[in-house]
Amino acid sequence: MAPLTHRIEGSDLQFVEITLAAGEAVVGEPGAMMFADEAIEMDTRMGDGDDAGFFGRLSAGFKRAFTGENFFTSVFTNNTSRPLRVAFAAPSPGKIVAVDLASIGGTLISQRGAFLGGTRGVRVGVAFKKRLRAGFFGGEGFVMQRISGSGTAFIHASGTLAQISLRAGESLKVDTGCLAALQTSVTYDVMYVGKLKTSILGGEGLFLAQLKGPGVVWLQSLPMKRLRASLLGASVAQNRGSAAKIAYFLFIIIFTIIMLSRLP
Amino acid sequence: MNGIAGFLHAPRLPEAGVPVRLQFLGDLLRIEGTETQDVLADRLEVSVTGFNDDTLQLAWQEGDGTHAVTIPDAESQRALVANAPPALVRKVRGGRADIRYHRGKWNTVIGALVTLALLVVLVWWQSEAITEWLAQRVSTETELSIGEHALAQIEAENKLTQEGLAAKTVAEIGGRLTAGSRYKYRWYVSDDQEVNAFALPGGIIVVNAGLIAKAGSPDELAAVLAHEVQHVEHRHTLQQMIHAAGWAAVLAVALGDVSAITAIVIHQLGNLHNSRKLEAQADLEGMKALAHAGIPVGGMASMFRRLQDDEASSGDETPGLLSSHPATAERIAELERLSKTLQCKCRSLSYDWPAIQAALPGVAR
Repeated sequence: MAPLTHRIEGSDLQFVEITLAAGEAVVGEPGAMMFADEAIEMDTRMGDGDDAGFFGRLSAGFKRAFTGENFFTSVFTNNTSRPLRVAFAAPSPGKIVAVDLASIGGTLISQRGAFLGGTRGVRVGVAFKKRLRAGFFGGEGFVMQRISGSGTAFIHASGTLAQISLRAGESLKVDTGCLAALQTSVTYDVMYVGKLKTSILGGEGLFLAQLKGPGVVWLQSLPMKRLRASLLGASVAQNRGSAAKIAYFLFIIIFTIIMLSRLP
Repeated sequence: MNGIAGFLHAPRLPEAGVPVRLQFLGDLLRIEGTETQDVLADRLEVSVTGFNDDTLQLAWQEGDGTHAVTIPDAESQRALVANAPPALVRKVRGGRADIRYHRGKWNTVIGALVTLALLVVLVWWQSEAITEWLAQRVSTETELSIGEHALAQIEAENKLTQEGLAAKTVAEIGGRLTAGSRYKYRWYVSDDQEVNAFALPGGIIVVNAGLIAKAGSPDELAAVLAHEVQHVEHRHTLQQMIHAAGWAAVLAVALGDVSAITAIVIHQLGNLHNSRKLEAQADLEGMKALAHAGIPVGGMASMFRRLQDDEASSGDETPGLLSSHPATAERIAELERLSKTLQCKCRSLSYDWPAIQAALPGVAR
């Protein structure tokens, strides 16, 4: 299947505009659509939006829900004879990347909730990380997304997405949580950071993810978890600042009272 | 031979790798993609890679760096093992073994977790059946020993007797009801004035003087005895003990260390109530035993009905028998329904009932 004609707009708050040829269809997460041409037909279907039987769609729906997607899929079809547009917006600050599934062997593994939309027929399944240490400490959990099919898949991650290719045997240390997506040929494991001093003071935690080629990986600069932590930390720090000020004034007042009471 | 599909990764190729087909020509591995190249099998290093350690990788060094072929799908891997030249086949087998080992390890972990979860659910769901099964495993000697301990406890508080007209009558009626039992029953009359009777494990039945005083006829006494006997026969008390004391206690009992456990269990004995299900079983089986012995089966219902009426009219404290045997309207109705359905050539017991009641120990008339 030919890759979708698309254009990704925006720098940090992106959307992707797809131009559908006559008869072409795309799927998107419900709620992701930003705009569409009048003549585009919208339909909501259980599962991946393909023509599987009822139980196939039901099980696909559960798989999707399990990996952080919606139980349903919105299908956008161009039934006219002229090209039409449909656009999907990213749900949070970050980048959208278009991955041509055929070029990476048909399957992409991504973090939960990364799938934004793609060619109709692209399936979202469960990629279960079958390694306890990676599941617990790798930062992605045991359940990831397996996006498979033959068209284009749009994935989204917060922060900036870096595409890095690894040669056979080449390996990369990655902060846990920064892994956004990887090709199936890449080995994903965790490793102990190595030194006690680094693990305590290095700020990267006890473990790092280890990615070993061959294959392509996509890394995100600002995992949602870190963004959340820094925002939360900032708001807590603000509160702590005012609390410290109050304590400081109280101390001065009490100190003054005590001093005054001791005066002859 | 063209069953081996893989991806070729090399420095000058697209980063994601290009699909290729592999075949062996003698000691050469022929890689057919957009262009064809041959690699000497001796140069290949076999390793396992991939997201879930399920991909075979054949790597070799060229002038511009490492080249590798990855083979993700299992069928192609098998074809590779089948067709590899002898020099390579051992390495490839090792790789396959690694993949199987990872998969096996994971399946074991998951299998163990699932089994554990199922086991917990099963135990929770079938806890009644399991306690029953465990109760059946306890030996009769152990049971009797628990009964003896409990009896000693009761004797410390109440005067028990096996002598006198009342006790003799109880033993006689009881004897008819328990003919052919595996237990050797002992019958006691206690001077306790509470309307109650209870069964201790191992075949010890204690009837309070209060119950005999309240019973309207020997048939009613027989009905209560028949009911209590079923608690012994079906080991209901043991089941309740197991339920109350937990399974650690059971294990100790099963292993034969009775002393410590019985101390705990006997302490609880006074508070043990048989579940509604066990009571219903004792009701039904008790009636069958009555019918079998040729004693009228309606005694239990009439006894309950009168106790309930007394309670309503006098406003007294609930009699012990009612508090430990909740006599709901449904239960009485069920008892009456059963007594009608059971076919029985029954004759009422002929005892001098007032004389027996007069001979009770410590009864204030």
